[in-house]
Amino acid sequence: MTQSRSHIWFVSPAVLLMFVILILPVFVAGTFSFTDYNLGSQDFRWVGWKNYESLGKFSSYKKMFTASLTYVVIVVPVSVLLGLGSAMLISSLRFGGEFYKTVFFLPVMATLLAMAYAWEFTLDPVIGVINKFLDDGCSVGWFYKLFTGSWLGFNPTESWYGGLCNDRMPNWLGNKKYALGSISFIGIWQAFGFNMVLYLAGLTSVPRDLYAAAEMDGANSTWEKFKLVTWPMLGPTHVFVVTITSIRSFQVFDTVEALTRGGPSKSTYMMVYAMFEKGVKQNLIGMGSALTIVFLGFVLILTLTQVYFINRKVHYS
Amino acid sequence: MKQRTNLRSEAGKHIILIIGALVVILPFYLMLSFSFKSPAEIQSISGGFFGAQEMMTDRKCLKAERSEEECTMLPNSI
Repeated sequence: MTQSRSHIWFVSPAVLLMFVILILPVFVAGTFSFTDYNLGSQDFRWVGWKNYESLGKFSSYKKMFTASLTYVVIVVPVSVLLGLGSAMLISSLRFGGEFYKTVFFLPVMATLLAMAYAWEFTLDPVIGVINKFLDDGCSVGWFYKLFTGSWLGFNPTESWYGGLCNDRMPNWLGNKKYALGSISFIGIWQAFGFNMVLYLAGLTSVPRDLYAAAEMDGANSTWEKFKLVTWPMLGPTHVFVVTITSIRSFQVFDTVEALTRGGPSKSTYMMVYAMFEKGVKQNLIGMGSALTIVFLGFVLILTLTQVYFINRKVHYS
Repeated sequence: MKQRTNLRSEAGKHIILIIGALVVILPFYLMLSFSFKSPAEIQSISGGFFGAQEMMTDRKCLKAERSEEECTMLPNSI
């Protein structure tokens, strides 16, 4: 009996495209990462692991890893919790839910580069409305008391806001103390709407009778129902949301390029921006490729972790 | 009694979500507002949402030896 080989003809175009578009560039980048190749030059030298060693040796790359990881550590939990919180609040509303869904999803639909410029105006130390708002608040009694903590008995001049009122308002994007926090804030602003939509979808798949069963077992408060039913039933959604948000956070580029260009003092020097700077701006293809391979490694680890948890740990159905 | 508690809880949820919505909308609001204002109004944070809509003269246009009429326009028609 001869086995038909027609299936190979059906599969081969997709396999070929996947190889050319996805796998081949990774091999090319991997090869370049062991060279000192510059775009346009006729020849190159094999430099072994030198590009990778540079990543651990120079302080700018150490700052790059610190900034990228700090950004991910800030953006992922905050945007996931905000996404979950807003989804739960919206799904429990009697009316107006559609309005909030639309508003919170606006930053996801907007072009981040354009919005980065809008945030630049908002956070500007001189003409920005944030500083204007904070500055005006210094002369409003209840606002000043609230933000300095003086209503709790703290010394207002020792607080952060009290210090700002006495001195000057912060340069959100030009001071290395605030720049990464400001970029992270914009990242959270952009990401949490997407997480909200994913959680809203997850919440609709939680069977209602589980809440009734939990009530019969003595879980009467909202917190107990959340802890015993909602949170565990959202397991696959948590894994998906955390993985997607982590990967997207590692990929942050637009806001850095538009607002800080990695500065001040490399405090916002993120991985994708470093890849762009080395590979495109400075034409150091070898170094840029080494950064790309390390970046791919991070993304691969996150994806494999997601696959592991989705397959083994988080299914209740 | 229970109905009043439910109303309070519903109002509380709306207040939290409205504060969040204001933060989310802020850059969109500013972008739209800036599109109506002159550069001077943007830099002085004045003029409300639409700005004064006063006619302004483009100095570069005047330097190019074009007439004042040609170089005078509304802020958002540049």
